[in-house]
Amino acid sequence: MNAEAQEFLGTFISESYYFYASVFMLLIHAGFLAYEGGASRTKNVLATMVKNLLTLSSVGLAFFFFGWWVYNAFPLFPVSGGILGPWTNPATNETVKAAMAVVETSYPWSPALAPNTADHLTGVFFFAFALFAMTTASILSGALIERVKIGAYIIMSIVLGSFTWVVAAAWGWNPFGWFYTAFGYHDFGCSAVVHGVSGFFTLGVLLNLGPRIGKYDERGNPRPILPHNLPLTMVGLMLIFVGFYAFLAACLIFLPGYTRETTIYGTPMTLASIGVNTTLALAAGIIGAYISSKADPFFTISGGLAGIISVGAGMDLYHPTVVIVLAFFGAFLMPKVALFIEKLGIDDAVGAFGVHGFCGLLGSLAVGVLATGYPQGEGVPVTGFIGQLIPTLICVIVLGFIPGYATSWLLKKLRLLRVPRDEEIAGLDIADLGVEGYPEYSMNWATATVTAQNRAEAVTGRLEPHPGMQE
Amino acid sequence: MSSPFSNPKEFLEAEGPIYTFGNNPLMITFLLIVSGILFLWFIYASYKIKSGKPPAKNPVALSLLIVASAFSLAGGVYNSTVDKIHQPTKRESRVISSKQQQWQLPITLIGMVASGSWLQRHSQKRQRKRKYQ
Repeated sequence: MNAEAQEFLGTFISESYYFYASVFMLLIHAGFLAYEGGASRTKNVLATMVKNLLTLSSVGLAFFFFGWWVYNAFPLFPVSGGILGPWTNPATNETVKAAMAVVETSYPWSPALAPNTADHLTGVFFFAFALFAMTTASILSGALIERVKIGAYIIMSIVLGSFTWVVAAAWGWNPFGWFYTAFGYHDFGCSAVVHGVSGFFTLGVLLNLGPRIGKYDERGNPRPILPHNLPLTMVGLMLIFVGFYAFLAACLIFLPGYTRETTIYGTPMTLASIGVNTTLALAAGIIGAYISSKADPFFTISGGLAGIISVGAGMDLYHPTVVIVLAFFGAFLMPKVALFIEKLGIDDAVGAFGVHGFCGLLGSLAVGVLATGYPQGEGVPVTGFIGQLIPTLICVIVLGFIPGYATSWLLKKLRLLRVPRDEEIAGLDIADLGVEGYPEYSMNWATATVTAQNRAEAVTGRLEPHPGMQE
Repeated sequence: MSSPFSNPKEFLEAEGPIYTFGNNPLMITFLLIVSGILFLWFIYASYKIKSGKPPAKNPVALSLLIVASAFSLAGGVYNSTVDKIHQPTKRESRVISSKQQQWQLPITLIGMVASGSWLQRHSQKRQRKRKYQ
């Protein structure tokens, strides 16, 4: 094999690696589709799934129009430079010059994103990041099911998936990002950068959206609204787990000419450690939530996700025993956090805040305790608690909670956030899509009775009991 | 510090282990023991937890509890009977009571502890049940 062929082989391996990792990441969306569809009631199953499907469109296109540019343009802003764009002079300094080389490939009109034999890698990185962005937005979708307007969800998914999360990634996950260069922040598997941001964004939205009709009784006590198809939800989470392996694998950097694998921060790592630590986190997370929730099936399987998120930030550094203990701890606390949120009057339909917000926060802070003192590069501070704490708080509050609350507040004031009461009672499948998810259910006596009951209550305006609700 | 590295060059060019507590085998051992305990807890819990319902009573533990309590009760009854029939001298009395205590004490203790823990768990479950109702 001649030198030119060897060089091309390196390029092709990188291109293939990120391409197939991203294809497998799409399983996260298949998983979210099943997970949220199963978690909804029969009258909302199609609307829930379609809303989830639309995330691919809203975030996919918005990420092409501006999200990919935001990731490359925001790393220096506002601490060590401005927002990089066509107006920036690359000769300002060496850092800006190096960063601008990437910024110029991320404009929607850039030839690097179009079929181009001179650039095999920009496109696959765009693909991987677009999938990261869609995943982040999908976290929001589950929590809001059964009462949010599709248009409102699309707007919020764009704000979260193509802007606020991307700014967090630019600051905390980009090698030029000031979280890293100024604080030594380390978040390999995006505990705070993806999950913390989306979990707290979701919390902000839920405060304005309000609970589903019938979720709380007259005294404000929560009533369980059970998933209509828990087995589907569980299969969905298994698909999410498969996608998560690919997500974490895509966090590895291996480029043509490289002699070793690195994290996005340039520190050494192995794909093997992701294999071991993800498996252990999944296992320990499931048992933590199983014990804590007293074998609640929904929380038990969510525990796997909670475990992985709890160790995600330091997965490239943790010894497997650290992973087991931390994943267990995170997943053990997750159901308690979810129930606490519910008691506060916040109706998070799938416990997204507990799994993503709480465990993302925990996972990011844990690096400052369990992986302290790692040097990461010349001039970059070593990993430590304060170096994790400040960027994590910025992620969850400034880029998560506040934008989520502000966007949903604005939509609420414009009466664009929540579906009308009668539509919510009738179910969004009929109201939004005009078809039922399970038309054959009309042959079933129980469903026919409940449907008639719902219609009657919609007319009288009473709070409705619904299929699956326990009195 | 859980990092085994002291400078960036050492870490960035590391050949071999880079994991946390790599320079502290004692910590790894401790965490391994904690992991093992969590795993055992999981196995134990899988027998006890029945989707939120009060756990089914373990027949072996329950049998041991009944046997220990019965022994304890029988021992007490037997002692009081023997004391009434046979009035030993002061010296004999001291020897007999010390011998009785040797075999009787562990059984009584087992009975008391087992009964106590069972009752405590039972009342906790009742309280929890009441809370959720």
